[in-house]
Amino acid sequence: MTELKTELKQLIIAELDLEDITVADINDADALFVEGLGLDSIDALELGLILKKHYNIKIDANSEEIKQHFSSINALSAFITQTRTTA
Amino acid sequence: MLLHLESINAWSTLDANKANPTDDNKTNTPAWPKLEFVPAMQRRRLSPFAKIALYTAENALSAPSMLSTSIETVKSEIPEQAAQIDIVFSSRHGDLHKTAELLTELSADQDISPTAFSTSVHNAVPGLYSIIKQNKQAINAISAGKDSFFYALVDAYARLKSGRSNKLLIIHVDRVLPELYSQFADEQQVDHAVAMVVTSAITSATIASIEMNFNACTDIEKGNAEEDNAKEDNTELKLPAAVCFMHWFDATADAADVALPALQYSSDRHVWTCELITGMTDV
Repeated sequence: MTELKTELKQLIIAELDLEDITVADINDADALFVEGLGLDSIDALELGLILKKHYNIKIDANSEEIKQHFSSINALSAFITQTRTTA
Repeated sequence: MLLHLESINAWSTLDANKANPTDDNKTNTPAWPKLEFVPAMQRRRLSPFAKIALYTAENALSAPSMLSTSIETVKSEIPEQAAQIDIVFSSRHGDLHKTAELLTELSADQDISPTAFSTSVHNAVPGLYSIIKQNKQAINAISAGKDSFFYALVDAYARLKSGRSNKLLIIHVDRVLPELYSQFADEQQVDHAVAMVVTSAITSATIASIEMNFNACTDIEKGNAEEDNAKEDNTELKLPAAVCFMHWFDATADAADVALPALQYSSDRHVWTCELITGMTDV
């Protein structure tokens, strides 16, 4: 789980070009969007692409739950783990 | 066509290499401008193409000639100018490094990056600038082959002459062709950006007045033949129009009172001439 979280942070930093941010700067429980890390709607699309490319998870853009899954590193890694086990 | 310049700023790898030759020899990658004035979360999405363009735009708008002499007003004037000025943007190829990458991904049936896609339109650079500066004025984006730079001047002149604006920011930018397209190079390959502020009438901030004219190229076949010969020997290729213009302008400015020859640049379609008009100091 911790490994997955670190990997997610590395992917987010690399794919979203967060030049001045390191893995240590992102707290597992902090908000990813608007507050906390301060990501925006284009980042959300980009994050969906990351999940598809690296974890083969397809996002339903209309799902209400997506907001919850994208809320923090904790939520995101739980979502990936859950999707992997149920798939 | 008479254009009055309030400021002009340029960035090119020719200058960057001159300023920092050792750096270039090692990496062969220019050090792109830092763009401290752009918030970090917006800056991360700027490609080198966008960076050099915005760098010159910001410099042109914060040139000493553009500001009052009083230090107190300087800080408040830059954002005001940048928010209210009309913009003409021009580029021959646009951000071809970005579009080539997107097209390569599409042709391989891969999903493309939403970020790259959203900033791949031709007017993305002035669009980003307008967001950063809260500028809601009209923006034109031009692409006209080798004539792109001069057509930006024509467009600026037309807009000034129409009376719809009395001051315009012109931004021109082009980069070396990506590897994929390098065989089609018909000009010397230089990363470059030029930005200038032009007005319809002489103001207290006018630094130069330029009389520009153009004719249709009457001998297109001869031009093409010259180009074909040049293609075989890369050194014979002409510099891009904007770089020619900057070299001419810098030389003319350096020469002060000495009358320098007019600039003449010919593309496949037009012959352009620019002449520096002096002795127009009365406001």
